[in-house]
Amino acid sequence: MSNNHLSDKIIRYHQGEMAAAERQAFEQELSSDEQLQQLQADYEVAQSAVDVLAYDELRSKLRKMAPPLQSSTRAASSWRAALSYRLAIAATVLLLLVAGAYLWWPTTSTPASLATSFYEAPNFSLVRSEQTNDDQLTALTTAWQQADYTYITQTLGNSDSLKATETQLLAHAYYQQQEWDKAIVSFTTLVDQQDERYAPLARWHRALSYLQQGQTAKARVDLQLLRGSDNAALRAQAGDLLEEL
Amino acid sequence: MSAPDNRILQQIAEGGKSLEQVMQELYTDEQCRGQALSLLLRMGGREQDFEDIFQDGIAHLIMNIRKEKFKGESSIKTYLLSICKHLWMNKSRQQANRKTLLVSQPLASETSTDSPEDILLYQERRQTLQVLLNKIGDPCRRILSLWSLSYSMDEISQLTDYKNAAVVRKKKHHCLQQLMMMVRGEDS
Repeated sequence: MSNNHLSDKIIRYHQGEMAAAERQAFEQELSSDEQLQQLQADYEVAQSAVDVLAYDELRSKLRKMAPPLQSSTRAASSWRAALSYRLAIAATVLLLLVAGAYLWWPTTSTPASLATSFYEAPNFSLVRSEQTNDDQLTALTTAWQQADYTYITQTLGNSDSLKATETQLLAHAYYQQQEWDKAIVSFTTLVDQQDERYAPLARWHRALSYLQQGQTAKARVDLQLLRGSDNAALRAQAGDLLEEL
Repeated sequence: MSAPDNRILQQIAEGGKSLEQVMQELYTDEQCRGQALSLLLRMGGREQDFEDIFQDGIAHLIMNIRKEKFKGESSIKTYLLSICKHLWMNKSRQQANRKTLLVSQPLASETSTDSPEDILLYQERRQTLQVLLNKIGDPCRRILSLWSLSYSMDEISQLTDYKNAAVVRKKKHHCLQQLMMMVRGEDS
């Protein structure tokens, strides 16, 4: 049977243009006919191309909705006004600090700004474990995805015995809240446990937390140790950050 | 899920003019725009990057909802902000030309419900399918994109130069067949 004729059947099947009996017969044929299966795979690729076209169409429509460059929403303006005021004060203070710091540290970046630029928030996936069915962990990862760090620190902050995943969540929640001391304590717990799944990354994030606090020497120690890590990406990043420092 | 979110989901799934209406709504929502802008600025982005990121974010949101990848475990606005955040992170990584640190350690399996892990999906697909997409003529591109977004055949005939719904339906079928032939390498 020609490819065109079979392609036609594949298309009609996916468009819901077959009656129930024809559909059932086609599904049976599809399960055993290699030529049909290949055409099914071709259809899926074609559908991927159609998805990209749909995406481009959406972008095109949104581009036409874009406001003129000069205008901005009231909410965005109020956010920017508040931010501008704080930035103006911070800039004045920073100018004075940097002017003094430049006398003995003539670099273009501060340790804290380097840490900020190197930090990437983890993408904690939801646990799908049939064995544990841990509702609390599910709620915590949901809170993370919703940037509700207070929920995480309040839920886990006073617990004595946490699982490694919980410690990891807590550490990053503290980091996001800029509670560097507490973040360092949690990352240290993971480092000391020496579990290869968590310890190396925890050491990296502890180094970033030290930099946020201005404890550059302690950060360097962690980064030097990471230069010997089995994780190639971590080795590279530690090397990059040490060069910047 | 709140009632407004349910309505938005319904309109996006419906597609066509209904989808256009909700796109306009999301795009001009002041609170959402403000939060997204603030997030972008906090992450080191610039105001001039905002419109691009926000538009990409809404387009991804709509595609994910239509593909049933959004399971409703957060609000739509939270999901949109999360998508924008990941889009910015990816863009800033590309701009800095840094190696990607494998930060994400899945707590269990790779399957995540509301995770915007396929943020890059349409950019990546475009790179792979570019040869194919370049071969499709403009009429087929237009028909297939509108059909994929659930515009009715009547609506498509009004938006294009085709006479009526029946002609559009036939043309759409032909375009899909042509696309499949291109995939096989049998295009003439």
